[in-house]
Order: sequence, then structure tokens, then C-alpha cells
Amino acid sequence: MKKTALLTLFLFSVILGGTGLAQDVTTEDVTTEDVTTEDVTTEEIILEEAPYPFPEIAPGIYLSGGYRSVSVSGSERAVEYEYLHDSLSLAGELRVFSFPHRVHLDVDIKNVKDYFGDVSYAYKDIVLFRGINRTLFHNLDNINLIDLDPTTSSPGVDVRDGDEKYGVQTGMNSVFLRLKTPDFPFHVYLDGSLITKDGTQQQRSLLGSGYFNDIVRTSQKRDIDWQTKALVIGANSHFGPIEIDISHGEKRFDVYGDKVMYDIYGPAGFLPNIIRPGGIFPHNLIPELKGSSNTLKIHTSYTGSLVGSATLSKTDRENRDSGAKAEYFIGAGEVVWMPMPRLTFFLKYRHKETDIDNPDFATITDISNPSNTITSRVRPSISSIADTLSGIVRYRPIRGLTLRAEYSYENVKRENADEWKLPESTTRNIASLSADMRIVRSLNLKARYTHKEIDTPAYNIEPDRSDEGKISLSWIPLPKINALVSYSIAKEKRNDLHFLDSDGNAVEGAKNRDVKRDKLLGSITFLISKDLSLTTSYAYIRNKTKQDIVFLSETLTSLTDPLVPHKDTAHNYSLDLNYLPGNNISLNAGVSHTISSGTFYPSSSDLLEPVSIASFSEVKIRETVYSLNGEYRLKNGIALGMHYKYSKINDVIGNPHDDINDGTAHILLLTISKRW
Amino acid sequence: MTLIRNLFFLLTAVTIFLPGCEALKTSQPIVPIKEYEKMIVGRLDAEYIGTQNCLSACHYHDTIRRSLDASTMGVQLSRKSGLPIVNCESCHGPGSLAIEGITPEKVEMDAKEGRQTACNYKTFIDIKNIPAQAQSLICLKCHTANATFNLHNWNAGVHAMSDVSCMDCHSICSTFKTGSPDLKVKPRDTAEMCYKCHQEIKAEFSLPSHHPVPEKRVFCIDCHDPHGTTNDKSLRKATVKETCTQCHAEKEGPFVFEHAENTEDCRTCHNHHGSVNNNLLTLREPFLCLQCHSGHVASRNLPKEFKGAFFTRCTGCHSQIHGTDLPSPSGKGRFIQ
Repeated sequence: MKKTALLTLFLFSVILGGTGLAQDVTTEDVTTEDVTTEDVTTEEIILEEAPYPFPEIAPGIYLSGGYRSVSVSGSERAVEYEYLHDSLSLAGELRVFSFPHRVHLDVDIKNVKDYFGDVSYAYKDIVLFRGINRTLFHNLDNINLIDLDPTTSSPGVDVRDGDEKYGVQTGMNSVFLRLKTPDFPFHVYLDGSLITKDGTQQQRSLLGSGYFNDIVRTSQKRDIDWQTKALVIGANSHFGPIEIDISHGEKRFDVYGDKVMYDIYGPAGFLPNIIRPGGIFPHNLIPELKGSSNTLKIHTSYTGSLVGSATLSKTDRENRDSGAKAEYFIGAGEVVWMPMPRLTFFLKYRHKETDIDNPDFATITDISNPSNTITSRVRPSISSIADTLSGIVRYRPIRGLTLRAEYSYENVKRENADEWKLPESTTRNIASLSADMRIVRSLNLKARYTHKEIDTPAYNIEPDRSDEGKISLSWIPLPKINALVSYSIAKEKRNDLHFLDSDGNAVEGAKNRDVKRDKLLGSITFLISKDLSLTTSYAYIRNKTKQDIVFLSETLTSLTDPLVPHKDTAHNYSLDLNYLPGNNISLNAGVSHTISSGTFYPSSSDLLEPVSIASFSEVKIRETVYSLNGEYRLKNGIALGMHYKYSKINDVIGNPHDDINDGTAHILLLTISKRW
Repeated sequence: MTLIRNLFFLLTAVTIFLPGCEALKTSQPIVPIKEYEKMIVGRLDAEYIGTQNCLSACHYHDTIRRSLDASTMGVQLSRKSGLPIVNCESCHGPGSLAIEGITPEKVEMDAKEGRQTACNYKTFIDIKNIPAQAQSLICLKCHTANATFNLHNWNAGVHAMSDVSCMDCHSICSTFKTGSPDLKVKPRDTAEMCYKCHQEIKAEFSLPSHHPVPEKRVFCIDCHDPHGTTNDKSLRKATVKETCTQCHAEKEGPFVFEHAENTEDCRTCHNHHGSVNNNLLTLREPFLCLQCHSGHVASRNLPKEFKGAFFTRCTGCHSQIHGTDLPSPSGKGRFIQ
């Protein structure tokens, strides 16, 4: 299959490269008869000109300092991504445009765990450098495990982290360096990233025996110290009609915190069939990884009516702990042909091979008794080959109307599918039609319809067929009013669900699944005056799934609860106001209120009594965020700033099993700044 | 060793290709689009006059001039840059007709009287009203060898296909207004630019569980390349999994025990933009898992704590659901250890 893909891509390249033979004729047609090419004329004139005198641009400097006051009560989820402690803050910006140098520095330090930096430097655009740091603090949940009958030891819970507050500082750092040869389009580049995560999070595990004979759900603290490093080096150039980019990438994931956890496990199994003796065993191992990738991109003619590109990419990953390996090969090609501006054809092909090689056996050892080692057979992972071919036609019959028709065929072939009781092949056929229409000058309509048919879907979440539609209308009824309404709906249907019982045999009787997802969006902006604008918007999101679910009876036979509905809804109301009451004052105020809820509705009394399984996950949350920002500019570039944010999360139904608790936070940042 | 081998391969390729390519760099499109080229060539009866006679001569445009000087294109106003010349007329077309009859003395006199000297701007290319493809062609005629090669898939990408032009996101004449040398917004505010068209995505980011995009800590372009890719949804990386594991590498694998193919596409269980449910889950547990898996024992006759253990949160016990290297007590890969 890989040969077929390579051959196809080679043919793409040959066809496209071959079209270069037509270059003389077609170029001549245009440039001599219809168009006097701008490039030639410009160059001639510019060469005769005196050197361009760059103006003196004084460096732009902005410095801001302030104090950030935080007040939190209840859950820190009220502000999920902020470090909720008082702090001094510092921000600054530097822009230097002194030919041949260009420097841009943007820094915003909210506190020691939440900061942003963006620095870029260019020398004549021969050297380009950019480095970005984004560091944030993510407040994480401490989920309270609840035992509905503490008098029984199994099932039981073991909460070892009742008072812990969790959070992880995440640093996202990236650098990009590009070097160019003067007067020739050859570039060498380096693209690197370092993602760090440092902090603590809750680790939930099944302890006791880890088996049905002794179920103890446990929560405990875990130290996180992870680093993901990725580096890509590459080069590209422009070789007449063909452009080539070649790159190599390396990636590593290193774990420095609690790489693995150890706990005492009791004997697993029901007497006399003990399947694993007790001991101290590892659990929740985070493996270290390494990998590399090689990519070749070929491209021809960005500007012409025939454009083609091909990408070949090979990526490998290795689990440094277990030795499991994965290889991915991707070959993709695209051709765009625009015989006339009204009509364009797009042809795309993508071939993906996934080859996963996991060990045949896995061993786990009792660290208190190394002779207590249990080796298990491992089911081979699924490797697959996926081919996708799609064709698109874009047609503009009249000015202001664009029609698009698309057809896509995808086939996935799986290895080891029988081990997983999955189909060896799945085929997807997707057709879509879309229209962009300017009904009148101030009214634009966009509509899209997609139909999908899937033969032998592998997993229950994939439908046999689906239909999806979207329509959006943007309207400017008056010069100072801008409105948008958008609605999308998707329906999926599946008539043959696939479940396995505890012995791995297919369950009869579960067949139906219907999914309906829709979104409604409305937004209107009023430009009340040149100094005052107001935007209000409303969004409604609904996700409804109705399907047969399967569970086991006391005698371990499979039972089906038919067409159990699961529904999530969310309403979001927001208002944003910008006001410039004077030349030296700017104000911005915003409110966002979101109400989200969800539950599901089993009907079997086995699922409803003595307690409904739906009650554990029922959710209803109200979130409100108010913000007020203002700046008062004094003389000499000095300004006073105020940024206030009030955020409230309200767990309306107070479900003790979920991870949502009420919380409020006030964050006030007062700044003084100077701009030079 | 792999790195050294690949470096050697790269250098050899460069060494082989580079010589003799000098003459090829002036190549033309294979098959030009005549109609669009006519739109962007400007008035054929006009002459090029150079920036000295355009922005530099008219103080009204001082801010625009400074912006262009400070933009990513700025250095290309001079031959000294070692790059092709780019100036006002490269995009707006020849300007002699626009300034016909205007003298430096008149400009100066008007400026003293606080007036802008009106030029006949209608003789320039009508950039705002030409089709999006022609607008983009103004940029593409030079950016055929884009440095970062991020235009590789532009023409077949969803933006080009949907009549989005380079100028919907980029501007090189507003550096001092936008704070960016080539974008219409500050780099930190790119999401606001995307929301102009993708408002439904903005609504998803307002849901209780979301990536920190509204907080400006994750950018849309961390995952998507607006210039187009060969990947679904213009993902920057080759697969969904590769995109997500840029940051979530602990879930990447490969693992000894895999969750079938499901971890190849994180969207099986997660709504990447935002969700009503915690951890961006598409549905809440246990229903999420019950879509594909038979539930444990559930009977009205069993004590309620069994339901609490079996149906509250599947990942409380199956806590290595993204994959694991350790067998479960049953000897199988149940993602418990």
C-alpha cells in the first residue's frame, strides 16, 4: 500500500513538474499580450532610484507596573487558569525599528506562575528570530470520592488527600530561527519547543486488590514534573517551478516527578481462584517517550491556475519504559486547477499508515517480593492503513454567489482486528454542498449540507449515516448595526451497536443510537456613536444522544436498557461595551453568563434503584464573569489603568459526586504606565 | 545517530540542489490566471513613481509610511536588504496618475493650511473590491518561496477555498495601529481575529471546561494553521493525536495496552474547544464509556454502594484510560494500573 501511495505521489510530482514545459507558452501569452508585468517595470525603475532613506523611527517603549489583588472564596475553579494570590505585576513593550534591525519585545508578568513573553528580532529579514513564553497556572480539582455505605469495606474509598489543593504550572516555550541567503530564496530554520508542567495533581486509582473481590477507590497526591522537548530543523528553497522543504524533528518526553506510584494490593480473585497474589505493585506509570520525524514537502506554482503540492512524512515514537513502538507514514497530495476564475477543481489524496508494535508480554513485579512476578499476554495493538480521496468543485455562476460541491471517500484497513473483534475495514463516503450568497449588499447567507454514509463502522460512536446542516446570515440593516444569526444541526443514526459481554462475546439486543447536536448563535453590534459600541450575543448549544446501553445482571448476563437519552445544554449570554468618554479615557465592560446542564435518563429499574446511576453525574452550573477595564491617560505618556474581574461559579444542584463546587473570585489589578 | 544521519542527508540534498539554481529563481507560474493578473497589475497607462514620490512626499501618510517601514516588509524598501524590492506600488499599482498635477509646493502649502492634498486614489488597484483570490495573488506573486513554507497548502486550504484572502488577517501598513509587524492584531489577540468568522467556536470557549484560549494562553494557531495543511481541520500537526500531545505528551504512547484505535483521535472522547463536561469530555461518565462498553453489575437488589463504585466515574478506577504499560490484576489491559 505504501508503494501505491508513493507511486501516486510521484505521479503527482511528475504531472505537476511536467506542466512546467508549458511555462514558456502560457507565460508569454499573458505577459506580452494582456499584461505588462509589474515586477519587471518596478525593478527597472527602482534600480534607477536613489537608495531608500529609511525614516528615523524612535524606539517605542511601554512600561507598566501594578498590584494585583485577589480574593477567592470557595472553589478555585471560579477562575480555572489564574494563580490566585496577591502579587506585584509588571508589563512592558519595546519596539525598535532601526534598519537593518527590528526588535519587538512584549512582556506581561502577572505573578511568578503566570507570565507571558514574546521577543522577535530581524536583521534585514535575512535573520529572523522569535521566542515566546507562555506560563499559566491551572487550578485542578480535588474530587471527593464518596462511599455510599462506609460500613462495608468493599466497595470502599480511601481518601488520602482530603485537604490538598492541586494545580500545575504549565510553561509553553517556543523558539523559531530562520536564516536566509541574500538574493536567493534558500532558508534554513530551527523550530523548537519546551513544554513544562510542574505541580501536583490528584491521582485516583483502584486499590484494595484492584479486582472485584476488594474494591477500594483511592485518591492521593501526585507530584508532576514533566518536560516535552521538540526540535525541528529544516531547509527550503525555490528551484524554478518546484519548491522543496525538507525537515527533521526530534521529540522527547521526560518525567522527573512521581513517574510511578506503588501501593499495597491484596490478593486479587475469589477464593480459591486467586489470579494475582497480594504485594506491593506499581501503578499509574507515566512512561518516557522519544521520537523523530522526517518530512519532505514539494510544491509548484502558488500563483498559477494549476497548483500542486505533495507531502511525505514519516514519524516514529518509542516508549522508553516498555519498548512499545509506533510508526506513522503519511503521504498527501493536492492539486488545484482553476481553468477560469468562475470554476475551480480541487483534488486531494492522503495516505496514512499506522504501525504499532507492542510487546507480546507484560510483566508486573511485587517490589516487596521480586519472585512474585506476574506475566500477562498482551493483545497486539491495532495497526491500520487509511486512504482518503476527495474532490471539490467550486463554481461562481454569478457575482456574489459561490457554490461548492465536495465528495470524499475514505477507507481504513485494520491489522489484528479479529483480536479486538472489530471490522477489518471501514469505508466512509461523505458528500457536501455549500453556498455563499450575497443576497443584497448588506445581507450575506452561508449554507452547508453534509451527508455521510459509513460501511461497517468500528465503534459505537460512529454512525451508519449522518446529516449535517449549517446556515448563517450576516446582516447590516443600518450602517451602525451589524447582526449575525447562525444555526447548525447534526443528526446521526446507527442501527447495529456492538457490545461485548464479560466473556468477550457479542451482546445481542443492543442496536439503536441516535444523536442530535445543534447550535444557535445570535450576535448584534451597535455602533451607538463613534465613541460607543455595544455587542450582545447569545449562544445555545445542545447535544442529545439516545442509545441502547448494556449492563450486567447479578447472574452476569447482559441486559439492555433501550434508547437511554443523554442530554447536555448550554446557554451563553454576553454583552461587551466599549466607550471612549474623552480623548484620554477608554473604558471596556463585559458580562458573560453561562448556564450549562446535563443528565441522562435510564429506564431500567436495575439502574434506577436503590439509587439512580444518573444521579452521580447530573450537573447544572451557572458561571458569571463581569469585567471592567479602564485607562486614564495623563500627560507625558503616563496612564493609570484598572482591570477588574469578578467570576462566580455556582453548582446549582450541588451534586456531591461531581467535581464542581461553588466559588467566587475578585481580581483587581491597578497599574501605572508610561509610554515613550 | 539518527539525527546525524538525517543532517547528513539534508546537507547532501542542499549541496546537490543549490548549484545552478540561481537562474531558476525568477520562474513564473506554470499556468497564470490571466483575469486575476489583470486586476492586480494596475493602470497600464500609469508609470511607477517610487515611494519617494508617494508616501514620503505626503505627510498625511506619515503614519502609514512609518508602519510600512516598521513592518516585516519594511526592509525590502531598500536594495540593501538583499531581498526583492517591495514598496507601496508593489501592491497598489503604479502611482503616476494618482499624483498627476500635484507638486511638492502644493503639498507643502496644503499642509501649512491643515489640508490633505487629495490624490486621485481611484487610479490605484481597487484592492478592497477585487475577489479574494486576486487579493491574495498580490501577496502570492512574491511569496512563492515563503520562508517558513507555510503557504505550501494555501491554495487547496479551506480559507482560500472559502474566499478568505491574506488581507483578512494580515496588514503591513498598520504596524503602529495594531502592534504587529504583519498581523491585523497583536500576536496575543489572534483568537479575536479568528472569532470574527468563527463565532460558534467562541461560544464553545465560554463553556465551563475549555482550553485557555479566552485567557490568551493558548492560541488558535497552536493547533490550526490558517494557511492550510493536508490535515483535517487544517491541523498544524499530521494527526489529531500529534496535535494534542504537543502539550499532553504523557498521553501519547505508544503503550503496551492501547485503548484500541481510540487514542489516535482524541475527539472520540473530548471536545477540544469546550464542553459542558469536565476535562472537555464529549459526554459525562459513565454514559461516555457506556456508549461502547457494557456496564458492570447493576441490580436493584445490590446495595447502593456498588452502584456508587461502578457507575460514578469510570476513570476513578480505570485511571490509565489513555493507555498503560502495566497489566491489571486480571492480567488484562483494563487500564486500572
